[in-house]
Amino acid sequence: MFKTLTTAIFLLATLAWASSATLSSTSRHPGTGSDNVVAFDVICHLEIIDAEWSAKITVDRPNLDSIQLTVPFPNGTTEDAMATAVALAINHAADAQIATVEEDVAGPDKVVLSGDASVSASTWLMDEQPGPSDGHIKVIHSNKPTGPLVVPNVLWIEMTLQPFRGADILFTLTLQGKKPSGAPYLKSGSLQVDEDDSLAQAAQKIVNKLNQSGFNASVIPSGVRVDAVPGGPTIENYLVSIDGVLAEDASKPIHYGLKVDHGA
Amino acid sequence: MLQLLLLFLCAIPFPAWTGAPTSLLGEPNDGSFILSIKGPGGVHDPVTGDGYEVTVVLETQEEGQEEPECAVHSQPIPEGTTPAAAAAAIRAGLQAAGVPAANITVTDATVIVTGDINAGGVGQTSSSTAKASGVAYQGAENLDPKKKAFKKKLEESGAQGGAWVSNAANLRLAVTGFDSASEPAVDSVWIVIPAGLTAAQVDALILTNLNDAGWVATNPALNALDVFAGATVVDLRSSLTLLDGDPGFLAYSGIYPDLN
Repeated sequence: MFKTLTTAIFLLATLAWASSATLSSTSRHPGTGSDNVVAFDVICHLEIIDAEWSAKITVDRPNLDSIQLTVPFPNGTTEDAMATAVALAINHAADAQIATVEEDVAGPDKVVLSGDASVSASTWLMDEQPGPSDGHIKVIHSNKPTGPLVVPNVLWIEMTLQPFRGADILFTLTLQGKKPSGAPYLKSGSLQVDEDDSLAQAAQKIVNKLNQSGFNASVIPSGVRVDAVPGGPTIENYLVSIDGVLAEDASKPIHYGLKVDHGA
Repeated sequence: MLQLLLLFLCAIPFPAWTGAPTSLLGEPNDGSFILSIKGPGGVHDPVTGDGYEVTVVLETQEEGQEEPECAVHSQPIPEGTTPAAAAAAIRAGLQAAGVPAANITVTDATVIVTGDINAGGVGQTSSSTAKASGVAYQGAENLDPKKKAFKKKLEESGAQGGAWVSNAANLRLAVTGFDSASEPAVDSVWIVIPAGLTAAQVDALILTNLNDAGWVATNPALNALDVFAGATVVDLRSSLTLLDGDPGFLAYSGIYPDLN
């Protein structure tokens, strides 16, 4: 019951986020061409409850070494503090100001990478500890920070799953744009993947579900690709999220993650 | 008293209480420290439960600096303090203890300290319903390989002479990083510290528990503990120590250059 309720809340929140986004085609974010926005959303709370988490952050930069970090999120860390900690850690490791935090009063603050840098993230729960564990963290990827629209025409999106374990995961994709008639376009699909599924099985399930929901999806190694339909809606904004589904016994280590790229 | 004793311990030259070779000196580190305060009702809850005291120790060493610097701050958290207010007070206290303001960032109830952190530790004096939780961690993968060390800073100077004995408490040691397949991994061990143990007995107890759990660890000197790998973590990125109760020492974790 709780699991179902939580899932419903996720979907409603995702749709609300997408439907509240402001559309514009006049501004251009310097990160065009790569997935450069990531945020951490603690499920049902604003902060981690009774658990210690960590996030693995990978930043890819053209012609430069990639940066791989493990940023700990101690018990009590809020969503916004996670964004601050990740941005500081990236800038410290890069020895340059390539990450900024965009405040979002209606949701978790977002880490925005500048230039052509892209970021992927996975989160995991530290293992057994006394008392209940709670506060699953949803990792949100988007091409759109809180400011004006990033890319006016997304042609494809590739979502690479990182190995997951310890919990079922919930994958959600929302696309927003305009139909050829000029009318708004909004489509969202969501799927729960079993903990025991392999990456290939999970990717196939997601593709099947997305195609049933009207997307143009196909399997790529360890992931899913969604292409815009020629002559179909123009995709202006995407939002991909992944999180561990709350389990009755959440006192075991879990981790999950996602890397997202897009072309325009 | 606790603060004075910790300051005394910090004043001891680094190799003297770790057993580390002097080649460590002048080796800068690139770690950071993150501390979060949690109240029973969340970050904005005006009630943090019973009053308690949070002690934070940060050891830094900038490039070219011969010896590390140690900043210690003990912050009383009165009953009714919000976690965010507690974090702000800790920030001010760390600045007063010598941490540059530019290196400290506070968001909500989280204090993040950047800038060549060797090691950091956090403890609290009572098992209040509010909790302080901190961790020292290293940054990018493309840095030189490091080893991680946990250290225990004893409250009582008499520990070196054998007069010190522990109080009962639970100690948690955890390391995060990547396993042999380069996947995120974490190893964690909870250790029950009985009352009445000497410093050497505490060392032996911790080492035995880690070895039994499959960790690769050594005890190079009294009150010092080096961890090279966890049961699954082979590429260490962060270490975390948590105390539930007051065993009489402050668990202290950090990142140290690989001297081998």
